[in-house]
Amino acid sequence: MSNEPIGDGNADAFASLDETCQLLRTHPDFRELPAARVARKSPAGLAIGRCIKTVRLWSFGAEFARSLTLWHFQIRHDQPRVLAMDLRWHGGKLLDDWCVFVHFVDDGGEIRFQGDYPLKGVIPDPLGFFYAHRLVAVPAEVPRGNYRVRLGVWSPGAASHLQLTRFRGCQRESVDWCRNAVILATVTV
Amino acid sequence: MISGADRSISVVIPTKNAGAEFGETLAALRGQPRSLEIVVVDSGSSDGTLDLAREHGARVISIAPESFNHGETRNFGIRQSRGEFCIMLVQDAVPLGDSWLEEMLSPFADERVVGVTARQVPRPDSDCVARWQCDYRNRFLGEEPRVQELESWEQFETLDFQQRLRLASFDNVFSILRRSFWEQCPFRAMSFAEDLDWGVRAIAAGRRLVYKPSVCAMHSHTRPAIYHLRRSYVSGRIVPRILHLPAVQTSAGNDEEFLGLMGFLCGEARAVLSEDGDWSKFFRSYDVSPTLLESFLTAVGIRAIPPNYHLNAARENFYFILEQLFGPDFASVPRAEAGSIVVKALAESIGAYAAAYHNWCDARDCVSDGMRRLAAELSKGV
Repeated sequence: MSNEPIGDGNADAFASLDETCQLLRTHPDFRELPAARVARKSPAGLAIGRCIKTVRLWSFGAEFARSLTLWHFQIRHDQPRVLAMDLRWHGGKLLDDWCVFVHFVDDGGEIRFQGDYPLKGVIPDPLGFFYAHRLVAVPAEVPRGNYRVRLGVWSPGAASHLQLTRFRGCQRESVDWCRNAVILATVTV
Repeated sequence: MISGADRSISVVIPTKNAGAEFGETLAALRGQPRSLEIVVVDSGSSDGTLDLAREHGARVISIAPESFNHGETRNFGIRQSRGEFCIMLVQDAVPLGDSWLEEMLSPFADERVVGVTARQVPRPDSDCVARWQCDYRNRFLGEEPRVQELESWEQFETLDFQQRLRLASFDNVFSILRRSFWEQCPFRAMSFAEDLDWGVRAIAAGRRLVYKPSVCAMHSHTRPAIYHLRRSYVSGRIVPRILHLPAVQTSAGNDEEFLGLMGFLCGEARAVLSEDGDWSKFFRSYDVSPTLLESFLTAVGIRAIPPNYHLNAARENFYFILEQLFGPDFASVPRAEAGSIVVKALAESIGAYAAAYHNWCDARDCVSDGMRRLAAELSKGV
């Protein structure tokens, strides 16, 4: 092919493309999206992000309020009494006041320490993903033992936990007041 | 050895405004040393097709255009014929060479063989997409003669899409069938893929089909992009059902996601058309490199792309076709064809993805009104 633009003199191809789009517009919600928009946050980008999220949810995930999804969670010891958490999320619409709560719960059901963090200021990437790497220091008074890791999202504006709308690969908390949280793991400290 | 000399052979050709090229088809039939009974079933030609057929000794039977159906019309033509073997041919396919009839008949020495299909080669004036589709199909079916048979239905159910398609392939573009089996198992009334459906039932009945790539018919179409879109959609809707395959979950889970992906892809196709001709620059600019995709997936925690992972199957298909067509030797693509290639690749990809998404919606019983309207439009004219 020569170095000439393939767009020049390409009227037939553009006409065919217009005809294709016209046919797709038979579905009233179809819109052609300019390709350049993929580089920014766009409906198409978010759609792709949601597809990735959906695929991931086949094995693991917890979705809150149908808009915010935790699709990867890992916890490990960074130091003997410090835990490191990696969280990967997907969400198109985030409210500034939302706060992720992470409870470390003992065998008696008591919260012995927490790793909460706010979502304020979080900016999802063009496909709607955002990430968090959090360190949680285990308080000195917390005895050695196993602790369940419980996670949910608190909405101060609504004064409630965001509803847990879907989950897979993890357990829903059975305690009534915290039914919109999931149990992700058990750690030994 | 079965030969044309000791068996009666008929040819059944459905026609409608076949054009002057039909003369080549008829000449190829008349050029055989053995006399063939030619039955033309015409559904409303007004361009001299009927006179041309009669000049070549064909028996012409006219039917109402609205009664045409790929399966039923062929059944009707076979009923009007007498041959022990029936050649199924389309009006624009031209058998090539002098010995095709003997070669096509030879597998029938095996009584279990009920159908033989030939290879297709593109017409010299066909466009790049038609040539590629023909070549791709031939590579899919293989270069060697092949006997297609099934040990059991359970075996069939273990096969994937491509394996089933290869095993059951039978093509009414140019093939021969055994009348005695057809009498037990005629084509079904279908407007698309009646031949593949027949192939599935033939192997399910314990019979054999044979693919003979040494025999060729010249056959291809240069179609507008919109036809590629429609045909790809219709094929994607019907073929999995014929092959008894369940719907597969698509990456898009609802209309919003489906339309987002389609709109996104149309936008990319427009950008390709508008680019300055530097293909690699386009790939860089619009982030379509598979390497970049893999990097992205790795970055977000998917360390390797699973074999059945589809970020956007339509997009992957689109660029797969473009790469196939442009290939490493991009410079060899005639400039005049490049734009047409892009839009036809888009049309093929969108049609196939729309069908897969619709199948998935059907399986969940959640087809929206908008999707129904789109499906009705996509199904027209194929």
